[in-house]
Amino acid sequence: MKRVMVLINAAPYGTATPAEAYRTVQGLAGMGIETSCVLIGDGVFILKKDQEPREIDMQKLSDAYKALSEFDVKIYVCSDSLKERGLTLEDLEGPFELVGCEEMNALLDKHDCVLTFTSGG
Amino acid sequence: MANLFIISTSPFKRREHNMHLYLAKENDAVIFIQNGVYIAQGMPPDLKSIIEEKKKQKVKFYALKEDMKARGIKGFFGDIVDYDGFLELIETYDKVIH
Repeated sequence: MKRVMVLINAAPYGTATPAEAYRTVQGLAGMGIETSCVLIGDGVFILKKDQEPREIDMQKLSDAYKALSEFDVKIYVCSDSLKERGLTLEDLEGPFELVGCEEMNALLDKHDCVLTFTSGG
Repeated sequence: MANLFIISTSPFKRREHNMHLYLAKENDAVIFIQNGVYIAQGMPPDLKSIIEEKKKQKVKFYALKEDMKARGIKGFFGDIVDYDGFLELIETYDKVIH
């Protein structure tokens, strides 16, 4: 069985990209495909604490991503992207693993296929 | 394991550049296609220094000939390949990441 990595480089809630990425991850995992999720670039904002998207009539994405662990999906967060944005571990929530550049490359090697979700917004 | 990264947007839009170049390591390659080939014409200075750094790390750079010709872009800091060359690259590398 192929192992799929989904790279997400898009912040909530400006575009639908993080939500679409979530649907893809959930779909893959639901089909029994081993799936990992990497939050990189603005994607690290997906697990930012204190999101209150009801203010703009949106669903809470951090909750959705947190629930992915129920499907055995592992979430990795890029430590350099976090630092660049002035965020620390304490600013994020949910089960995830912090990875640097080298670890990220090792992770890439462990997967057979990579899907990317990027947005300009 | 070596990866081929595809960049298809302008260096001024920078939709893919930061992430792809961050992940590209020794023996990996980056190919610029579609509007990505505009990088041969010019790019923001900070992007230029990232590219220089990656070249030192032995990351290879390619641009697609047909897309360059279509846009009137000449000269590129890496190798220029045509569609067949692009296909060969796809076959050569373990993974393609767009």
